[in-house]
Amino acid sequence: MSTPLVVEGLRVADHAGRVIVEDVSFSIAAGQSVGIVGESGSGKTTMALALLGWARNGVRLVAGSVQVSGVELVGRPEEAVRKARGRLVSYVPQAPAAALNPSMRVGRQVAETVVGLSPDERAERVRQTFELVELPSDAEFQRRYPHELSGGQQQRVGLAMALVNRPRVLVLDEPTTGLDVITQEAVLAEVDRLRAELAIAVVSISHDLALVAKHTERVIVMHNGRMVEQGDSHTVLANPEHPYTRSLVAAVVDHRAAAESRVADGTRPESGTAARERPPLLSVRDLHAGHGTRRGRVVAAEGITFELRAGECLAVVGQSGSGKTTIARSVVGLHQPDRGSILLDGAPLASRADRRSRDQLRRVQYVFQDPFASLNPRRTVLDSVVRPLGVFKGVRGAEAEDQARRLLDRVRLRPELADAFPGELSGGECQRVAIARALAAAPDLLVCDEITSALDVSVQSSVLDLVNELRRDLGLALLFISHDLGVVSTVAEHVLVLERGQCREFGPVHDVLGTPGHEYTRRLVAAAPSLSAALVRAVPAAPGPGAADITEVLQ
Amino acid sequence: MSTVDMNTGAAPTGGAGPRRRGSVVPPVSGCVLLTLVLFALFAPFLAPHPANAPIGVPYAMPGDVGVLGTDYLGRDLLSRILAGGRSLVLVAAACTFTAGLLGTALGLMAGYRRGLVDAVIMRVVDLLLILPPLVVLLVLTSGAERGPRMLIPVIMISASPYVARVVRTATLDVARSSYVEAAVLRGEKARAILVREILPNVAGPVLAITGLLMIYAIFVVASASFLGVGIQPPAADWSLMIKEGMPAITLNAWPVIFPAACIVVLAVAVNIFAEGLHRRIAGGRAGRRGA
Repeated sequence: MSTPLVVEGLRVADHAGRVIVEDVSFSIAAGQSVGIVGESGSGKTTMALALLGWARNGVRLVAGSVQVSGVELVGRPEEAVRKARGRLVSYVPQAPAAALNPSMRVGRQVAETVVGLSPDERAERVRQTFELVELPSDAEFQRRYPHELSGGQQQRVGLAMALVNRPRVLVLDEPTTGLDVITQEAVLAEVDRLRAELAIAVVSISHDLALVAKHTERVIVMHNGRMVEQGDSHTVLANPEHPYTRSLVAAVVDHRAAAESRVADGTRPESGTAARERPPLLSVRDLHAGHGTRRGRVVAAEGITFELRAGECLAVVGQSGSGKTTIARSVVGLHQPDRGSILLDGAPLASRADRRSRDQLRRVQYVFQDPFASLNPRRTVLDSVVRPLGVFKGVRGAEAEDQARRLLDRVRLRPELADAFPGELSGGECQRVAIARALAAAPDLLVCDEITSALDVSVQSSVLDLVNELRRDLGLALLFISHDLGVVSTVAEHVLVLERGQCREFGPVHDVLGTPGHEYTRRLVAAAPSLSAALVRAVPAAPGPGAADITEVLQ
Repeated sequence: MSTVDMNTGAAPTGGAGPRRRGSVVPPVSGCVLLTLVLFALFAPFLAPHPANAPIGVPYAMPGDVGVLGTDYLGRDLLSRILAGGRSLVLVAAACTFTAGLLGTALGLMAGYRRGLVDAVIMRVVDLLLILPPLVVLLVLTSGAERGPRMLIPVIMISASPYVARVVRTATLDVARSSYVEAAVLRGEKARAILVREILPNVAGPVLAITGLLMIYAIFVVASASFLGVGIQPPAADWSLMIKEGMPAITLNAWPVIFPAACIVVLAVAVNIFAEGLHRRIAGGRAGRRGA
């Protein structure tokens, strides 16, 4: 049996000659799993596509070789390469919902990719493949449209499409980015099982080191298009040698490690009972909210009650669809709750933002999830920060510009970016501008809705540092929405665990996450990727016919 | 339709603000358009003869009398061509501008307010869409005065629904953006949100549709004049000149060909220019989604 995937001296460049991937060589044995990690822009996705002998528009595979089961994919005519795609090597794209044709039933969609079988055999193969990825294989399910499936099911359909021709190599591009932790864990366990069962080689592109540590045997670290380190996943991530890998590992926020270190050095942020006696800044009482859909009302919050004092940080965690964002939007006045009250300093807030007073609006500021969408692409960075200064404080002209520049400096944005447009900024920079814009209002409460989920790990940790620092210096209260327990454990004192709109557990972060009392919290904590835990746990063995030659290939 | 550009060719390198390698067509068409507009506005002053005075025999061939010959009354064709663009360009531009303004306002309102406001505006817009402008013009002008003053409101009303539809769709999309919500959370007034946050971000589609609108307006103005309900003789006007030259087209086609060619060049230049403008704007915005 030839080695499923051998890459040698691969080099990818764009037409302007800028090198995107430089001198990458590695090989994978059957049944083995390799993780490719790096930040956005490091060339991960370009490399993943190159493994299929494909390059995006304007990009070319310049040199080197990619051999899948002995078939060369680089420098061959497109016709020849296409025969290998899907059959020898297949690809699962990042966003399953976007990769499936929304107007085609899923069964047909999978059947379409089958190569060279009679119609009967084809139907049988599709059925088998659905079973393989643990989806219902009956006709009713196959007749559904992608939007009728959950995110996890969509990703399984994506997997089924990739596996239906029984390839030797499977390339997964950030396979679980859009999924919540529990679904993510299930899908990845699925991939691990299939890898062992079918003895396929798996290449996973990911920015999540914890997942890589848990689900792959080897890891390749990419930085600026080059491989800076590779080797056994646990060894590399436990004892990174290259400075870049070290910085990546250091930037990981880990809910287990964070909880332990807090207990260890006794620096628990909450200041005891004194804090408890201060009147709450924000109190939410018996909040009920939902969304009307065609099939009836979906509950997003059911009897949610909590209080938040000045200088405190409360995190709301839960799976996607648990109602976290709806609660945040109700607090700021973008979602109209069905019932319940929201009080700021004891005074009730109107349910809609346009009925609240200027001062109430000023005191509660919202930082949005998608940093790119939260800034007007037609306004400069400075403009975006000047506007709230004018609206809330009546500061105008040169004075406002001056203050805005100070705020941008406060969030550590390079001063020359003040006149840039959001399109010229990175995600982390956009998020800093959004924070500066919120600070311009001199708020008392900052509502942060998944503010780090769109960011790279290292950028994420610097944004979290900034948030922590602002809270300390300005005495801000924070309502922090996140699905990432690691992030939550580094910023919050209290946590509210939400499942289908209901509060499952509420209490100090290290208590709730350290010794979860509720069954749902336990599942959430168990499924949450943790680098430290993954490194402690034993290596997941990958049995199967190809397991024997792993060591040989590693040489 | 040539003006539709989906921004699919996102820059492969990611990176900030990539400049698409500009085609030479938009600048060239821009120059042509600018020349034509300036020409239309100021050329009457360059005319060698008065536009309405006979200078020789009717239907003279180019070069025989005057540079381009004469029309059916023996008037200088060159002078009439030079003078005949002004009315068409001015009327079409006025129609485009007013229709663009009205349509954008309706589309913004409908897309931002949604609900009842949206339903009412869009049903009215749909009703207007089925009115054929030329028939309306013929009906209206049978009783009232004829001439460009009638053209402008009719074209404005019949063309604005197209703008309104496009702007509404773009607005629905933009209005959901976080930056619009951020403005709502600042307590900004609806007008400020529409003008500051939404309008600049729907400008691309507005420009694209405006290019088509200008051509539509040129077409309707020319047709109306040709049918006798638009610009009235003895004014020198390209569309009117086509009508006047038609009866004798077999004798001398030049009095028809020259003004017709002028209209074609104007329409093509407007279209290419609008498309170039739209690309430039859309391209600048597409620069953010890198790899």
